[in-house]
Parts: sequence; C-alpha cells; structure tokens
Amino acid sequence: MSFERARFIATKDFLYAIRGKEALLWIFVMPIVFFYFIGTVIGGGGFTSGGEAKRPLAVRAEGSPGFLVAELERRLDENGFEVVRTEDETTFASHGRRLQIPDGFTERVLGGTPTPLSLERREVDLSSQLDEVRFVRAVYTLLADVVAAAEAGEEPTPASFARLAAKPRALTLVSRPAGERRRIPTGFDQAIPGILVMFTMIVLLTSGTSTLVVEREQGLLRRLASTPISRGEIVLGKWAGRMLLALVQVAVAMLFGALIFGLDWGPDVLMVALVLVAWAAFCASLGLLLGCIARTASQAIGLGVLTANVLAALGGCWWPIEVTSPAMQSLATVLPTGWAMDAMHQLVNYRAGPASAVGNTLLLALGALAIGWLAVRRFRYE
Amino acid sequence: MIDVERLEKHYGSFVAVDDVSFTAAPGEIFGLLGPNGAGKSTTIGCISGLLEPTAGRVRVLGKDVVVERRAAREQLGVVPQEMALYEDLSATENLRFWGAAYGLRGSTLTTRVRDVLATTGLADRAKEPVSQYSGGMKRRINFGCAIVHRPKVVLLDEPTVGVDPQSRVRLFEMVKTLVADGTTVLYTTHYMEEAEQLCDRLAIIDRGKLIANGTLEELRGQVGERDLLQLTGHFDAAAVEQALGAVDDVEVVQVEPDALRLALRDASSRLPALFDALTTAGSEIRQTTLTEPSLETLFIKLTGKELRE
Repeated sequence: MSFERARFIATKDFLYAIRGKEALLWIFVMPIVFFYFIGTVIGGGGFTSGGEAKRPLAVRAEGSPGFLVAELERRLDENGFEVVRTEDETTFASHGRRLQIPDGFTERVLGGTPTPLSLERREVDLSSQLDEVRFVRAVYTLLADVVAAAEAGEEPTPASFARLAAKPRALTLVSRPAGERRRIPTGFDQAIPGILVMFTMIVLLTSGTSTLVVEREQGLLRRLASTPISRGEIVLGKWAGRMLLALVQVAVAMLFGALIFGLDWGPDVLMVALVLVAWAAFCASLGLLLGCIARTASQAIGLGVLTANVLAALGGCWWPIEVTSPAMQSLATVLPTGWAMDAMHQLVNYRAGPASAVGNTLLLALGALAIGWLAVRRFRYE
Repeated sequence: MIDVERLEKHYGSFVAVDDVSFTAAPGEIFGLLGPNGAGKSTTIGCISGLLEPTAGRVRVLGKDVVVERRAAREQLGVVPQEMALYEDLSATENLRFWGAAYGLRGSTLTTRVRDVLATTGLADRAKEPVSQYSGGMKRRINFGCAIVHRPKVVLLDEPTVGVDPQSRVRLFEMVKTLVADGTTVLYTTHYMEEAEQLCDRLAIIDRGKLIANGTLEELRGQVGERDLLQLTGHFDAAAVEQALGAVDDVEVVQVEPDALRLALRDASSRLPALFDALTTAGSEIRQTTLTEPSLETLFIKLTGKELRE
C-alpha cells in the first residue's frame, strides 16, 4: 500500500469536486445561507438575558402621554429592551419592534380607563413569545407600582415612584439556569452546528456518491484498474478525497460561523474540530458505500438526499432535539447525526468539557471504520 | 511481449474465455479478431489485470500479471473500448492525470504530455474541455492517455468503433509509430478489414475459444484459394451432400434448411454446373453471394457464421 498513490487519487478527486460552480455553491455558499435563514427563524442573535445585547424597541407616544411613559420605558429597559424613543413616523416605522403609546396614557391609566398599547414585530420567530412575556412583565410591574403608590396614600408622581423604587421589595425573584448553560442559546447556536453537520453529510452523500457512479459508468474506474495503482490505494484515495472535501467545508463553515454570525465555539474548539473530523470520516465512508451500491448517478443522488435529510431531521440538525417527543429523543441517541449533534451541544452550548464528547466521537469513528470496511468489500470497477 | 498461456475465465457456469493461448512479440501488432461477445474484451481484461483469470497464466514482458501485478501494469497501456476520459477536463489535464497515475512527475510528465498532444494532433485544442471534442478527437485522446507513460505493451480494445475515416487513419498511423519503436500492440477488433490492413499476426476467437492463429498469409492458406459461395433458399442436407459428392473439389461448409455454404475454387465459372446439381437434388435457390478468399471466409469456414452475426 502506497500512501503517495492514495494521496494522488485523493487530491485529484478533491480538485475535481471543487471545479464546478454548483459544487462550490453547495459546499461553501449554501451552508452560510442556511445558517442565516434557519438561525434567524429559530431565534437569530438570541434573547436578552444578563449581560447579553438588548433588543431594540422603538417607542412613539402621541400627544401628551404623561410621566408614566418614562416609568414604562424604565421597566422595559429592565426587561431587556433597548428603548429608542422617537416621534418621527418614518424612523418609528423602520424599526423591527415598535410600541405605540396613545395620547393621555398617564391620565387614562391613573383614571382606571382601559388603555390599549400596541406592540408590533416585523419578524415572527421563536423569540416572539418571549418578547411578549417581557413586555407584559414591564406593564404589570408598572401597574403594580401604581397600585402600591395609591395604597401608600401617595399621589402618583415621578417623585413618589422614585421613593417607591428606593424601598426594599417585599418579594424578590432570583432566577438562574438549572443546567450547565450560563447563557440562553441564540438561534445561531443551534442552527450553525446543525446545518454544518447536515451539509457535510448532504455533500458527501450526493456529489461524493454520484461522482463515483459516473466514474464507473464512463469506464474511468476500469481504466484506473489497469494502472499500477492498487485497489486498496484507489479505495483509500477515494475515501480521503471525500474526507478532504468535508474538512475544507467544515473549516470554512466554522470560520464563517464565528466571523459572520458571532458564534462562540466554546473553550474546547479543538475537541469540536475532532468531533467534526470524526463526523466527516463517517460521512466519507457512507458516501463511498452508497457510491458502491448505487447503479446510476440519479439513483445515487436520490439515495443520498433521502438518507441525509432523514438522518438530519431525526438526529436534531433541523431543530433542538429537546423540543421533540421522548421517543424521538431516544431514537436520536442511536443515530450518527444524533451522536454528532449531542457532542456539538455538549461542547458549544453546555461547555461541558472535552470528556463529554469523547463517547460520541468514538461512536462516529467506529461507525466510519465499519462502514468503510463495507465500502471496501463492495467497491467495484464495473 | 505478451505471453498468454491456457487462459480461462469463467463466470459461474458461463465460460467467457476457454483455453486461450497466444504470444505477441515486441514490435508486432497482434490482432484478436472475433464477433461481439467472443471474449476479446475479457481476454484484454485478464491481461490488463482488471479481471482475475480462472485458470492459466498471462505474462507481460515476463511479469506475471497476477503475481507481479504492479510491475506488469507499469509496462502496460490500455486503450479501452469506451471513452474513459474526464469530460470536464481538457486534453492536457486528462493526459497529466493518466501520466501521473503511471508515476510520471515534473518535467518528464510535461514533456510527455506535449509529445502526445503533438502525436494525436490535438495540440491546438489542448486546453478545451474534452466534452467539446468530436468523437474522433475523443478517440485520439483516449489513445493518447494510454501511451503518455511510454508503455512497452499497448492493448487496444476495439479502438475504432464509431470513428470517422480521418481519425481512423490517424489512429492507424499512431499505432504503426508505436510498433516502429518496438512496442508490442494487441489490437482487438471485429472489423476484418482493419485486422487485414494493420496486424502482423492474428488470432480468431469465437465463443471464448481461439479457433485460428497465425500470420495473415498462414490464415489465408487455411482457406486456400477457395471462394465462399453462400446460397439461401430451401435445401435438404442429405440430398445436397449426395448431389455435390459427384462435383469435383467442392466442400460443404454448412448446410441448413434455409442456407447453404460451399467452399470451392473458381466458383464463378462453375456456378451453372452447381445450380444444375442442386436443383436436380430438389434444392430451391433464391439468393447467391460469392466471396473471394479472406479472413471473413476463413471465419465462416471455421464457425459456420459471419463475423458480424
């Protein structure tokens, strides 16, 4: 076995794969596009909590709303909104979150008149409900202070609210994460590892599979068989070419995830890389096996797309596996995508340390070896 | 040289190559002639190492293709029947890849690629993707990819199928140039004219068996100076044998209810006498074809069927 000859085959396959514009699109561009879309839909840059960035909220008050507007704004700020006060209609309309306060707001609230507040959002994603919760909490604390001031026999004024705020609270609620996670995950925290895992698999199970079938159909493998390169060297080279393709894709996606979407891969980035190497190895073996099994290029692509999407969905690449039923969560524990995603979550989201991902990484590596062995047995020149 | 010794290749109960032996010498074009499915490509597959022989032995320049696989393959260049080319790549890129697959690197590879482009007449279109080439051009670069590493032995498996006359002439010239340099060429074809025109020695193969082997003259000698007369109509085997037994120097090659094949000297002048004898014996003659001595007549004589059947 000459690794030099295998390297020759691997390099040729890799360079051949990235020649086409379509391949470049699917390997390097589409994952980034999906990072953005899926990440935005499931929460984008994340919710405000603790020291995280606040979510902008434009506030526009009509006529003479009174001093309670400032009180409401203070409570909105305490609940994670970055209040942008504007009276200009165009500026107001340009914001993604908008709160419209009616004329005579203070007077109506203090007079006990039902007063509608209008909160609008341009985006509808999984964080919408949390926005509502926080907004309602701000409004209720304002109303509670109005009631408290009245019960204390004070006239509701900015000064009486300031005195009330200075008093110690009878009841204080402290909340903190129950798990290891110290920060509420952003949409990108879930989407980027998930899409990365999925696209690595899709590329290797479609283009990686079909190119092998096309080479067989066109007699290129037969011709290769007549060269001094042995069968073992050819198979190893084909596997390594796919592996190389996956590693480049993973590296680019990790870099873009960090630079464009601000994803923090966590303190154990080397372990993250190791998990993804094991995942790439698994996908390279599976792509090679499917290429040995499929009879036509269209069959290979169909088989690849079906396998990749089913495994991605069931393994938790499309959504956090925690939101699925217990049965689905159990199923994910026996799927390679589930192993990869669990390892990624442990390292990136829970910061649980390298040891937390060792088991899943070994499973992926063993899977790569087992499927690679099957591919070697099934490899055929014609 | 190529030395094939009692080669057999079985697929289950089907025998694709059955006890085939021949030797091709350096500087010689050895033709393997036979109809489609005769076992030519399987023989090539066994010589090139793609297929494992069931029995027998193949040596290339003295190296056993099974035992000394790599050493044997380093001396081989195979021109496959199909266009085994990377269509998205240019001629230069294809040549560079196949040259590198045989271990060529650096300036040696660059020089050889340039030489082969010149030999194949594709230097001016060397950078275009092969997908934009005509069928003949693809055939030429398909050939070029097999000789870029200067092999001592070249196997050509039906290299002229679907080739225009101009490209065919060019291909023949390239083959002759190789042979002039001392290369051994094994050339399989089912085109009799090609075999007659190109090959120094020939073997005829049918249903996996080698049925004739020798120089063109030796093979023609097996037919003798006899013409082949093919008749269609209605024939009774016993009556035909009896009627023609009385006619001098006529060999019944094959007789079937609707066809009769005869080998005889100077057939054209003897047709009236033959027709009389056959019609007297109750035969009905509808069509007559007369063929002068050739490999085709030899093949028909040996197998009872035409080469293209």
